[in-house]
Amino acid sequence: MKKNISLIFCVVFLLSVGAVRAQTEFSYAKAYQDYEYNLSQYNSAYENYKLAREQYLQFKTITAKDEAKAKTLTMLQTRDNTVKTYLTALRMKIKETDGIPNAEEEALYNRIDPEVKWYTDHKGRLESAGSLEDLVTDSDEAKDHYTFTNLLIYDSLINILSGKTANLRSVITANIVDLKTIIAIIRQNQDKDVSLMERSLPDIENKLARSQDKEDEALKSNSPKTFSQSQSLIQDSYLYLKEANTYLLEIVRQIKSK
Amino acid sequence: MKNLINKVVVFVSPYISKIQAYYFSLSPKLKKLLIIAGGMLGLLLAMLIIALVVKSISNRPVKRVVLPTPAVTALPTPVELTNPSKYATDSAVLKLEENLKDNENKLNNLDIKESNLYPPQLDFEINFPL
Repeated sequence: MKKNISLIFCVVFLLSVGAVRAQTEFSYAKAYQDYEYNLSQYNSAYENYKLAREQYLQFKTITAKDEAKAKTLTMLQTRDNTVKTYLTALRMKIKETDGIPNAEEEALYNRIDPEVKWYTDHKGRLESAGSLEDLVTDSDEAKDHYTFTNLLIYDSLINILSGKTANLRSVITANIVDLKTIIAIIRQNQDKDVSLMERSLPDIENKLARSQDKEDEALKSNSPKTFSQSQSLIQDSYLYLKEANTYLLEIVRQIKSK
Repeated sequence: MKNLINKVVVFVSPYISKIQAYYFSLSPKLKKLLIIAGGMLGLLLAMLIIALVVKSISNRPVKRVVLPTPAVTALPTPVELTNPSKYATDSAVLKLEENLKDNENKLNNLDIKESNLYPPQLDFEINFPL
């Protein structure tokens, strides 16, 4: 009896370790891989659907209609799966991107999770469709809902992009603090002229401020229609960061030279 | 061979004598004109032959000497300070420099577009017109 209990305990322990490991191993890379696989499934199902649809519209037979129904069902299921896995990949990317404020991150999760559930439920409902017409109605339902999903997608994307620049800006800001400390020490030692370096620091800080402004603007005007505009604002923000970092390196070089 | 030449001469000679007779019967003015036209035709033919020869020479494949490509070896290019200050070896300065270089690498490798994350192209216009 004791032997059996210890055996059960061991099995439960091993299973739980495995489950925990599987959970911790789930990353953006894995989520993206899932999405890519589902997208390829959708593309293949879509081709089959197109062919079955053409045949049905041409011959209008019951067999062709049944075939069209079957292919439409598969296509709609893979389409729901694609959106679901894409949203999951987006969620994982948000999770792995440093620089997105926690509140924003949580707000995005709170919007993504119900969306994933919606597509899971929608996919589950598809199987019960009695006719091709019912499937078309189900598809229209997803079409209407996707307008809402699309807003969330672009909102998430711009937050991911701005998170990247925000993260680097905070690192550079910390570097400026370190540099100011070093310059203060050199000034105290009075063995090197640091006036030029001190004068150039506000310029660098202005670059960081401009980078922040561009990022804020990008986040403000975000929508699927203005995405490319927001993207170019993030690009500008990134260029300001690059310039600021180059200037900082130049100051360090000056410190290291006589 | 001699027989063949003789046969050709026998075949051609009546035509030549006919042409000669025709030529001698022409007026001196026409003879001049004929000579000029013949000369021009000859010149044109010569130019055509020269052009063909030049073309065939230029089209001939040129043998290229394949030089071995030197293997590219990535050498670090340290920026040497010609006149280092006393802070050139300061640990805080070196640490900051390292951090800034790390930023530079991150900035250079940053995927600022994330184009692989753009939404998938899905067809939501599903209909069966009856």
